[in-house]
Amino acid sequence: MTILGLLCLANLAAHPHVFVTGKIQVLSDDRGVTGIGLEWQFDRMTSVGIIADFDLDKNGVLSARELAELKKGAFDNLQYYNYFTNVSLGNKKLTVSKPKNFSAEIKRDVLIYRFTLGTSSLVGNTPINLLVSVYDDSFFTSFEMMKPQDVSLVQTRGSNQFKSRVTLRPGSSQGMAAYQASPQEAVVSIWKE
Amino acid sequence: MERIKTVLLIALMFAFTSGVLVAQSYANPFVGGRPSPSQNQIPDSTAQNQSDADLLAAPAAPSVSPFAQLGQWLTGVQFSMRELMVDAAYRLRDGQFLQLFYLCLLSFLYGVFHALGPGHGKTLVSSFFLARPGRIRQAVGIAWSVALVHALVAIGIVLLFTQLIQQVLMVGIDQAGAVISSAASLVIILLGGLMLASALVTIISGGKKHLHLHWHPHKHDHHHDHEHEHEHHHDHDHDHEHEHEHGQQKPVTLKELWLVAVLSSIVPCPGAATLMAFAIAAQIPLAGAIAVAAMSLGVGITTGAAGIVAILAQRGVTKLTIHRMPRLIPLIGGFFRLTGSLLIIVSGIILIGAPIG
Repeated sequence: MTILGLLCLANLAAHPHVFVTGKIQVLSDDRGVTGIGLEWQFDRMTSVGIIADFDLDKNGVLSARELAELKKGAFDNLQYYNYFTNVSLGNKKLTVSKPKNFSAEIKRDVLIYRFTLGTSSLVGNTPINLLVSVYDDSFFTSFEMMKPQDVSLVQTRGSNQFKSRVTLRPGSSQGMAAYQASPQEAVVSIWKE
Repeated sequence: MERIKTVLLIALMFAFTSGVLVAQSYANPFVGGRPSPSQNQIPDSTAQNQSDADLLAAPAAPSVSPFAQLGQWLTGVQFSMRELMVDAAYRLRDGQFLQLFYLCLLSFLYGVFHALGPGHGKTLVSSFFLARPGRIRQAVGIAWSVALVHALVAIGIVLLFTQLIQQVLMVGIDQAGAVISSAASLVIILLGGLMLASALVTIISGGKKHLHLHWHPHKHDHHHDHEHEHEHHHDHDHDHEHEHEHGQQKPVTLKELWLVAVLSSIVPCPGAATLMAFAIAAQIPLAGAIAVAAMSLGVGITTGAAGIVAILAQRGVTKLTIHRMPRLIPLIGGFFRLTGSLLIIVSGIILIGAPIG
């Protein structure tokens, strides 16, 4: 028992290199869920490093060209990691489309990524439970704990027909992160009134 | 009391050595890595025909182990430390020079915490001292050497990519890391292989003579052993000072220590590189280099501690058995040597197989 405990202790990662504070938006039109909007805010040390790499004219703003290079150099490879994002409807895992509307912003030394992953699910009168978790199983990146206000349902302009309730809880992870940290899962219940 | 201490030490030693079992890629997923098969793969629901109920269900949340909670806490600590380091660095840049000490203290602690995670040579160092029982001061020497190499590599590689090559730093470090870790893994496998061969020769040829700690091997064995030693250093400046040391407890040589220290710290650490790159971008490169050195000292101490634990654990075992079951000592020694050598080989193989792209 002691050995088992110590084994786990030694394998505690405490070893991430990038820290991200995230926000999740569940996007909907008048029929149901259309996608997941993600916002990743990098820790300042990482941010300053990436900014130095890509904001070549050092003006604190990413031009279209700089943004394209940044996307190619420090974002596109995440396709192999499913953009660290897992979306399920109840017990069923949903597939998501390629990211759309990628943008990156520099805000006082902090680099922020924003992008949308498309997915679809109809919403009726019975609440559906959309489960969204964002974590890097290689634990190179650590996603910090979100607060309930960091997760929201965003409906198309003028439409306000869906109600939602957000619960944050520990999520499951199959890989290493399970030893090291508990990924967080947002449960977004959505229904039509 | 002695027994409890020994059991704890052994447990801790195996905890360090087993880090190899969860060894992970050094690759940065943002720029070039590929996930290993087990990573980021959430299984589809087992149900073939999912009913509406399945879609509407909210599966029960899995329980969180106390270890995961502790890991989460440690991660939070590191995140906070990094933020404090950034603040200290900015105050330093603005002329508050005493902040350098605060920055170094934070960097040192960050290094200690950072190196507790998988990797950072703890497996190699503890496996090495498992296979080759050494002295505490040798492990302390490894700590200093690891600190030195860790700092020089991180500072050197950042300067190389930011000042000379002008390549995108994140990508550069990732690629350099891949090349260096592949090369290091080959040397680690070779080292482990030679240590295993040497251990086997000692055990097989020694036979019952192992009962005595200071046995004298046959001439042939002796020669054989030497040959291995010679090969494994790739050293053309032969020194034969240890030619006349016999038996299982052949002392660890300085060259072996250096090799292990270098192999444990030669792969550039993205954490230290991030700190250095940040300092350059913040226009305090010298303070950055000093902070990286402080962080590396923290990493070195954690890595050296893994070696000390392995040494103390074996001493404890010897102490416990020497009076009661002296016959067991060579057996136990052989077991440690074989396990240590095998672990080194496995850690090398895993490093080479890590999906670094």
